[in-house]
Amino acid sequence: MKKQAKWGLSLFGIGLFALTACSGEDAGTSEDGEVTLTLWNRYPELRVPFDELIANFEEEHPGIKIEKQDLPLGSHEAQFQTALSENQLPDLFTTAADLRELVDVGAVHSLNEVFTDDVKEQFYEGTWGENFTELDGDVYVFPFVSPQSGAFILYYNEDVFDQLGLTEEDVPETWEEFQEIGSYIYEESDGAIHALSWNNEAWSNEGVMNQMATAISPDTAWRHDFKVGLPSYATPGLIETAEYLKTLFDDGVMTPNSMEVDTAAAEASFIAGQSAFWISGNWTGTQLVQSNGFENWGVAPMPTKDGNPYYYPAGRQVDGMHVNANTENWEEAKTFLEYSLDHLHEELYVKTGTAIPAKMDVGGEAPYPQYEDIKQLQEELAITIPKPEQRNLETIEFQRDVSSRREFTGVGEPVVGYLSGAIPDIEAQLKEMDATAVEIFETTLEDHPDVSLDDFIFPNWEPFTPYTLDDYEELE
Amino acid sequence: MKVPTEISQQTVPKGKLSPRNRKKAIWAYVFLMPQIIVFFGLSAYPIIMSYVYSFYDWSGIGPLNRFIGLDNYRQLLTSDRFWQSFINSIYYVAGTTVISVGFALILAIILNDQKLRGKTLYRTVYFLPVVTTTAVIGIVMNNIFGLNGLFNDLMTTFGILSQPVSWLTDGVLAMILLIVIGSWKGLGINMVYWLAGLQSIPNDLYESAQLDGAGFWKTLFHITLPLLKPILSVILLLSIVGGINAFDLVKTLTNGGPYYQTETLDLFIYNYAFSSEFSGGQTRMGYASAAGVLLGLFTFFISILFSIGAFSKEIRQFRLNRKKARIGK
Repeated sequence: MKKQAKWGLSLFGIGLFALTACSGEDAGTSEDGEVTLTLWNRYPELRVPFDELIANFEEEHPGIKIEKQDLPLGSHEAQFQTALSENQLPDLFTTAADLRELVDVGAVHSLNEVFTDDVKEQFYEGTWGENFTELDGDVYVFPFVSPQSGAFILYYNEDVFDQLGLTEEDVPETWEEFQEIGSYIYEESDGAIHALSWNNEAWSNEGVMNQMATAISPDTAWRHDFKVGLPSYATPGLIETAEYLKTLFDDGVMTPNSMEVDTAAAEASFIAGQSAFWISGNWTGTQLVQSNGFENWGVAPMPTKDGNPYYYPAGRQVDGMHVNANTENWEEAKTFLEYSLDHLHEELYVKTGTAIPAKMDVGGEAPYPQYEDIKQLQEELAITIPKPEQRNLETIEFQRDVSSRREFTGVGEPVVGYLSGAIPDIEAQLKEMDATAVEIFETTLEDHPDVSLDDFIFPNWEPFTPYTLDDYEELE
Repeated sequence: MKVPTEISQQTVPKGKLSPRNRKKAIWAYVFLMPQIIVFFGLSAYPIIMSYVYSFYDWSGIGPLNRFIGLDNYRQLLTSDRFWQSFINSIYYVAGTTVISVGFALILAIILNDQKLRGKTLYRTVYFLPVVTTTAVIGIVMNNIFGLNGLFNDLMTTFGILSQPVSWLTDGVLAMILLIVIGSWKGLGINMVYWLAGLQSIPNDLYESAQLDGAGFWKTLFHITLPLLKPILSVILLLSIVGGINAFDLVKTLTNGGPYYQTETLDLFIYNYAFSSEFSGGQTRMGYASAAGVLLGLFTFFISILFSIGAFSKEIRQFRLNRKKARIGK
């Protein structure tokens, strides 16, 4: 019987072991003293460049090994949330999670030791900001990309241009010109080529809508009017832009399957020469050249209603790297960050042409000539705008509260619905959203005594003029 | 040596197990323990916690410190998008259940014919979609039914359609497509259930009916279908619960589009729990949990209804026995 009991207990132990064997195992120090750091990368475009950076780092620091894991873009939040709740975060990670939340739960390590005042000065204006890369003046993010990034621009296929006898001079600047060239391209190619590749992804439609609309309604920057301080979903700019896009779709200026395909498929259609134009951000250049070997293209600003300028709120989203607050290898992580300060921006961004790095005067040469054109366009179009959280930290919590009470996020989804015919009247839809957003905003203000409408009003802000720290001080 | 029952009952106090039975019970628990741990760790705990989360405004990150009572439920019940996804789920469940269960019965009756040649091959062919990963089916069908896909190509080539149809970007057509593909996916398993039911009907009944001169239709309506009633409840329940939990096919085939017109409850929950940062929104685990709780309650309610329907005969018998027992006293 004792023997049987032993067997039973052994089996039970094996069962328990099997159950726990799946749980994560901390990377750490091996017997020979080598320290392994874990790194989670959520950027698909950085997968290969990161490998090279890590290989060079390991060669220079033989005692430190870095294990990189690439996360799937579409579902990395779930993995991140699980790891956070299980206290299984890697030593280094990239995430889009709200910085305030990460700091509140003690998930991120302060990087003040690495980013001294001297180091911070080496970065572009606008890199350091509250709930962006810093919180309460402490740095928590190793910034990758310049805040002057993210603006949507017009990519044109020069092969198609050559085929149809078009030149750089023919790149449209106004909506009307775009429709004209669209008709010309379609007729000239006997219906084989459309003017514009489009897609059904909300984030992409959101970007195009909000930026194109600023040429008509500049006071509203990304669904918020900083002159009156309230959410703004139904500006003339947004309504007219949506109606214009619908016209392009209905008239066959866009590829007919636009509402069926994602950004990758739409981009592939542009590369294949099935369309002459593609609207996207600064990250597209490297994808065209590095991933697809397509080099014959150019860039220009997106066409706007009357050819007026448009802008993108610079630094709307931070791209960078955090260090786990609970890492057992802070010194090694710091070593990697210090190495990255000298090499990361050049290796990951300049040499690949992926984006404009956050650090100024970085060496290296871009792999394609259009990189400089893209950089120049980003510097013109990505302009810093007021940030309520810079003025009052309490607005972070307030805005989170507003988001959680609001069922919708932006205008990207409704526009897709409008183009595909699910929403018959976009103006009515946007006005309804606008009324709801304002009502929620005002109701939430009542629950936040530390926040007022004044925190969202910036009378000294002029659209198209960068809003600087001096401007915030002027308001005080 | 065999112990007489009377003696053993005297020696072992009432309500206590004999040493031998206690050992058996302990061993049973030892072997059950891994499964119990897995159940509590991976099923019971998340279910309980989803009830807890539903009372909080929680993004999925950080501590649960914003208790909001029933606010998530209030917001859900007044949300057009939630009701739209609920109705979409109902459409999907109704469509797939009617088509899949009905066609599966017809197939099962045909394939149950003893004289049919090659029925094993047919059964295998019809069962293939069941063992194919749903997400793969969704992706493949998305390509087939795209505007430039194979289906439109064939239809326009043979002149059945004058121009390609946007199956995936028209709300009604996308829902019909989802239902048809979902039904096709579930056809095989329902066919197997029906076959099991058909093969449990004694052959004597058919032979007697034949001797009495009953033809195929009479046999079908007077013998086959009445005797399949009990299994119908089970098949319906499985089909409905499976339909309520439609996620992978919807995610990969239409992703809930266009503009939420094919978003089912499961996808609604997923979108709020793990929304992409690109949408400009933040994850709302509390809200998604509340939706999950409502979905769970709805599924439970449906199951109870079916159980009552399926076991009504037994319930009636139980009540009758209880009545008789009372009268006897």
